[in-house]
Amino acid sequence: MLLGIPRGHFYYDYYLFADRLFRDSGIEILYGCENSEDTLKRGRELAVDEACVPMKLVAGQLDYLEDKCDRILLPRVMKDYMGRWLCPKLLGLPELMSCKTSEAKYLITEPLKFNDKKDLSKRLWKVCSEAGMKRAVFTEAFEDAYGIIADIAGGRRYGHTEAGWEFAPQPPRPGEIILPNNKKIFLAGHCYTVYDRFINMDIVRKLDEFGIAVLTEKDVLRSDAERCVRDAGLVKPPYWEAFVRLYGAALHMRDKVDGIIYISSFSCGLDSFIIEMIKTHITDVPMMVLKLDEHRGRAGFETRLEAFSDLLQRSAS
Amino acid sequence: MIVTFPRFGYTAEIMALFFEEMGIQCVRPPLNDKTIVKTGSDISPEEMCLPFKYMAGDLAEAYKAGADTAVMIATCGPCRLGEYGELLRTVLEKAGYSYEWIMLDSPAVTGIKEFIKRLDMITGSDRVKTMMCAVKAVKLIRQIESAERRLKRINGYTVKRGICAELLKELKSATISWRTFDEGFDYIDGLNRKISGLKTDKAADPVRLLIAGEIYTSIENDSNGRLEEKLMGMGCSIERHMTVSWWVKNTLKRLFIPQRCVYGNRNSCFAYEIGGYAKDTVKKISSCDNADGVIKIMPAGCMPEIVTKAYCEKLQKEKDIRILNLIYDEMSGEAGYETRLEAFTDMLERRKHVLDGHRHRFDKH
Repeated sequence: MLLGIPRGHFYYDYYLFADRLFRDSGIEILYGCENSEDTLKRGRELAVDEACVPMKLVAGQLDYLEDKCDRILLPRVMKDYMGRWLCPKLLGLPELMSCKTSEAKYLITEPLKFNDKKDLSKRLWKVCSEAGMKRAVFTEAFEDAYGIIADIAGGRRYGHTEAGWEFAPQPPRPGEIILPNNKKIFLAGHCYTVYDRFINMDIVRKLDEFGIAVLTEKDVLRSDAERCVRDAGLVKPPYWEAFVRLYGAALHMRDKVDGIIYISSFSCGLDSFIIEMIKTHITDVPMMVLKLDEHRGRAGFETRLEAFSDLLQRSAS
Repeated sequence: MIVTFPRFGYTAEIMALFFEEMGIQCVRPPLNDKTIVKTGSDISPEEMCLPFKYMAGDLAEAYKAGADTAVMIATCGPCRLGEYGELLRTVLEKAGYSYEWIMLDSPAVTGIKEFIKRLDMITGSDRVKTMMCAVKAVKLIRQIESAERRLKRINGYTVKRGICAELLKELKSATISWRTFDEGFDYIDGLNRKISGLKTDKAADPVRLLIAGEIYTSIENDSNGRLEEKLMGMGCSIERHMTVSWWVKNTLKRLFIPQRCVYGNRNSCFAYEIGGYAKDTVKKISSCDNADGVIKIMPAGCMPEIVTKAYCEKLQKEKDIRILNLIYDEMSGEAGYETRLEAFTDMLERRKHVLDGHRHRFDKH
């Protein structure tokens, strides 16, 4: 059986989890395709107009998987390991994709709350058994997979190995001279904008060409981020995991990096809040916000990156 | 301590009465209009949703009028509304309006003890009096809104056209002038009698509309470009899903009914809470059999409502419901909205007559 999982959203955060869960089960997994203009075009036609670009890409992915797989898994992740909420659009992902997901082909999970292990295992088992997994295999695989998530969330291990392979700049061609990167920036943003090379127009490689090394929120231990947010003196405890991860990481890295680039997809509700908080409370680090939309205007994007990198290079001397 | 609060339908007036009764000084923010939203959008982040901009504008104006403590009622849902308090403090402080903040988060999240502690910060420790006043306030809001609901429903049926809109306008200006709760109750009594005395034409067949969607834009009239006034002017009978009393009831229900009972309803089509009141909106829209059409409103970029919009598109095809989506932001192009509303109501009217067996809409007359 070939099970399709769209390459978007959870893919970058929960890749290790899904990979471990299905490794020994005999179920073959197809993780969508690399996003491309074609995926975007398909998604744009399917998804509701107001959805953000990553959402449209997920719709495109589903369309791509449709005729290739036997079943398609669409997880509904509601809370992360620390019990914090994800974006409302993600919570309602199956509804948002309702142009597609009403078909019988889709395996839609019940709400997955990663903070509640027993409940999570029960709900995943429902889906996995439907996909034809054996109970014994599932129990063992789930234990291992959950351990990975727990390790990352508990600060015992960095999360960046998950998506790192796709994210790293390409290796140098023979004969190419590589200058060491002399500046470091914090590339903030949700996993599906930072790690998706299509959506962010390969920003990491471009920055690398400018001699700027990139750190992401995954290079900060989750426990450090949590601590920074706790010490920040907020009026009320935050409930979005993205807020803790990004704001916490920005606070943690403020002395360690030369600048912050925030890549955010147009009309992202979480970002409108997070960006303002970072902007207001971290004033000593230069910060640039790049908005990504489906028009993907390269020229403006590159000019702004160049200008920002010039600013960083000058500020040293 | 001079208390203030963002405007939210009739709550601003009622809360002012509440504080007056309790002997606490308070400042009412001025009525929402273009200047308020201008002030708000000047200081708030660009991509924030419309309710935030109104609230920021309200609080900025109230600060100029002398308030120094802001009371913010919020939930801790996954939607942006829960973080409003945090961000309002940040942007207002940046703009030079430094308030004391009292966040009345939903007790279901913070716990009853913490909630009462925060409430005590405003009202002092006379809890019995607070309780009494709160009950009165809720009762008054319920009465106002039920009178309002009646007026909107019989609009289009009344013999004298436009009388409902007139009464509604009077009600709105009256709420501002009330000084005590009793004054309010008396007025509502009189109004109810007046409504019962209105002559209606049972044979009239106006277009019946349901207004559903995001809670703030539904309740706050200025933020939806005075949608209801316009529709009443067109002679439609309207029903609005979101009201303050609905919200109070819903919040209390969540407090006393365990979460799993609220979440666990798996059989319905849109089974899970995703923040805001998306689930309730869908439930209402899918079960509105007595309305000819639905007007679904939301502020631009509202995350839960984007999901419901996608879902309603499917619903529209399956269940034969006619939905007009209206999205509002701080740039209000009145003419565009009016044209769309006119077209929508015209379409519904014509459809009605065709279904009745008249080939042309004017056959009836």
